[in-house]
Amino acid sequence: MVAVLLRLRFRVLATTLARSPLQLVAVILGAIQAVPILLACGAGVIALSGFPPDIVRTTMITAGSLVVVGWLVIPIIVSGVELTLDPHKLAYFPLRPRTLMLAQLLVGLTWVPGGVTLLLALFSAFAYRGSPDVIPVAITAGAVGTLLAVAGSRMAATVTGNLLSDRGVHVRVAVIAALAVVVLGPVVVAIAVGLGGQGGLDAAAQVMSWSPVGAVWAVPGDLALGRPGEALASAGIAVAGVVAVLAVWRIALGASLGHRGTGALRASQAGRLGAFRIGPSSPAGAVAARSLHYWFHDPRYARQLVIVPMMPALMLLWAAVTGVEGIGIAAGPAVAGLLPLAVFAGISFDGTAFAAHLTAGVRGRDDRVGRLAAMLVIAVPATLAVQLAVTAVLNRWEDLPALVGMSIGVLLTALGVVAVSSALLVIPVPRPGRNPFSGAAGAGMTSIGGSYAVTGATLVLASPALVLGILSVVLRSAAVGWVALGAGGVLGLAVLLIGIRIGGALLDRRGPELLTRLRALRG
Amino acid sequence: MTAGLELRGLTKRFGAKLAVDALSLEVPVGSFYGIVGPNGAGKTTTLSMATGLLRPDAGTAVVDGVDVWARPLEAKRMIGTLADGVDLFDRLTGEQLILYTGMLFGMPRPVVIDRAGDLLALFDLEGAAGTVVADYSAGMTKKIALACALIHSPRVLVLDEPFESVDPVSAANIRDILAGFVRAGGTVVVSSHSMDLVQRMCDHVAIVAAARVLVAGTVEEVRGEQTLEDRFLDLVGGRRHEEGPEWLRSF
Repeated sequence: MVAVLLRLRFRVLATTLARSPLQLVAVILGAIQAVPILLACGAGVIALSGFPPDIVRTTMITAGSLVVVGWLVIPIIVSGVELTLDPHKLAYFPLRPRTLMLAQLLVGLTWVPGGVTLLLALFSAFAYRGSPDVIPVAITAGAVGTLLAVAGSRMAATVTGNLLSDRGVHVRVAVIAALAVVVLGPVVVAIAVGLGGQGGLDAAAQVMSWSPVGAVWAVPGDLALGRPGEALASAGIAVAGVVAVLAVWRIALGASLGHRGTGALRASQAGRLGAFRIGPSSPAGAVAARSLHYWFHDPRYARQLVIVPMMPALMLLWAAVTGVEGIGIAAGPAVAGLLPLAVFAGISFDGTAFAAHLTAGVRGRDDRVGRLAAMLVIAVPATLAVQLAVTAVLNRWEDLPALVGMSIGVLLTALGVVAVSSALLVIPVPRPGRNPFSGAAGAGMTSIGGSYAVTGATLVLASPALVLGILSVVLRSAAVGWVALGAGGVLGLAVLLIGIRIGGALLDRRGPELLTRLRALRG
Repeated sequence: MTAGLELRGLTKRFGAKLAVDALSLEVPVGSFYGIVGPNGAGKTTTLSMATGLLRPDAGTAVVDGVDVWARPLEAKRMIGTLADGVDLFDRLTGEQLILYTGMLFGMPRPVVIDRAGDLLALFDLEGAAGTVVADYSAGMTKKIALACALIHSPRVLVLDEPFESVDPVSAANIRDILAGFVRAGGTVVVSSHSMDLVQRMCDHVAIVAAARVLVAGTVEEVRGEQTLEDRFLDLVGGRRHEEGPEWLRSF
């Protein structure tokens, strides 16, 4: 049965890729990305093997914990996670949860991210080259750690999927926000620890080693340091963690296999017009109101808003860890770029509902202007708030003009690029109303390929403001900073207007073809 | 006199499959025109090409003298479309969705708000006006889509499967609305699987199979002495007279 399910999953993948050569290219590009990661991490392990065991132990615990946390968090914040063996789709068949769990685990391990994780986890045993007796234990720990990561990821996806599937739209958004806070909590704590002074990493690793996400990585290190008692305790915590993850996953999967369908309907009266009551009464105004509504009512969009608090938190953390303040103050431009880029294939989120724009004969320009206006309403305050916050935290007020220049430049440029890309690219995204964490086969890879192209174009087009801004920060020159602000505003606006023009013309010319591709994805 | 909807040599090929093969059809102004055909006959593809949703490989679609593909904006103002197999912006409430559609057509907000109220009442959706469309049943979703197709008071309605999953009471109400629309001089084109319904409701009918029109004309001309269903089965064929394999009847 497991073999049948695995074959089904690769059959679906092959068919999807055969239908779209572009997607095949994206998958290959995505897979190629794994090579430098493997090489870099492999080299890191080899370099690490020259250090004394206590450094190896701390590094392994930190890196291993980050990997496990990453696997747990990714299905919550990133779209297009593999869920070909979606339990809801398989609910019709008499399947045991255990069979499905094994199949999903194998799918996870046989695909690029899982494979890379497994290889690196196993190879990390090489870091204990100094104490050969420990190596078999380290290899076992790597395998168990990978199991924890992949199973944890599936558990997170299944649990959140269950939480979301039976609720009204507003509840779903609330759940996403709550999860974001849960995810952000540890990051904020880590920042506090990191900013607390030297030895932050050691302290953090010590805490991690007694938690389910880090315990497994502490076992070989404890042994290498000649502390079998602690090693045994850590091993106990690790095994308990894996068992708990599998148990929770199994219960959640059983629950989602057990039922399908949506919640009951509540009667409600007319009159709640929301964003449609404000704004200009025109096609562009309508598109803007609808987009704005979706940003706050559609989990697939709302989830992108998590970037706004998360990016500055993460970048301040990195700045604290590395001691490079520049990373921290770059949070503004990062948010400015990432918010628009999150919807680089925005029409894919419309799905076939885009037909409404075609039947109404909406001009491409109005469509573009409306979507961008909604984005501006969100991104301008968010970017400025983030920029002011990190500038205040790091007390770098003298750099504010340069930073705002870079942020505005990146924001307007990214909007212009996205105005074109979202009229061209159609990527598989979860359908509205479905579990927002399910995705079509290979979706992650296509998204990655497309977002690389869009990010690259944005960086190139925003480079004048970026270069001037960085120069100003490095040279501590306020004058250059003001030039950066001017350049960011003017050039960004130019890219934005050109983007609207090109994107609008593309929509006018290729609208029906876009709909055909959206229909093909709907299946 | 110009036709309400005139299709000339519409052709669409998907890969190796010819979905619509040089299909021509003339729908007179003020007629209630039914298009029937088996699954995969090309009905949805044809109606998509007629309403500007799918670009034909060849041929033209003309609405009230305006070529849909040469002057799309002008043509689309005159057509009310209910497309089959497309989603709606279902995070909006029913009322917001109608409002959105109206504003996309460039209508002023106060007018759209007025008409949205009328349409919600007409389709008996007042109680669900503030509910998000995602939480609607299949029949309610069909009705709200139909309301959206009417908001800009089109002259020609092109409705793909308007009665699918609609309850009998609503279906009867929709029939009355459409009949009234035709009496006032509007043109309605519907595709349907229900022969009975088309025979009772429509004045013209075309039977489409294997990417072509087999026969078209007034309902009386097409069915002759037979019922429309018998005539359809004669033309299209494929009827089997067996009860299925034995194992299906032994429990």
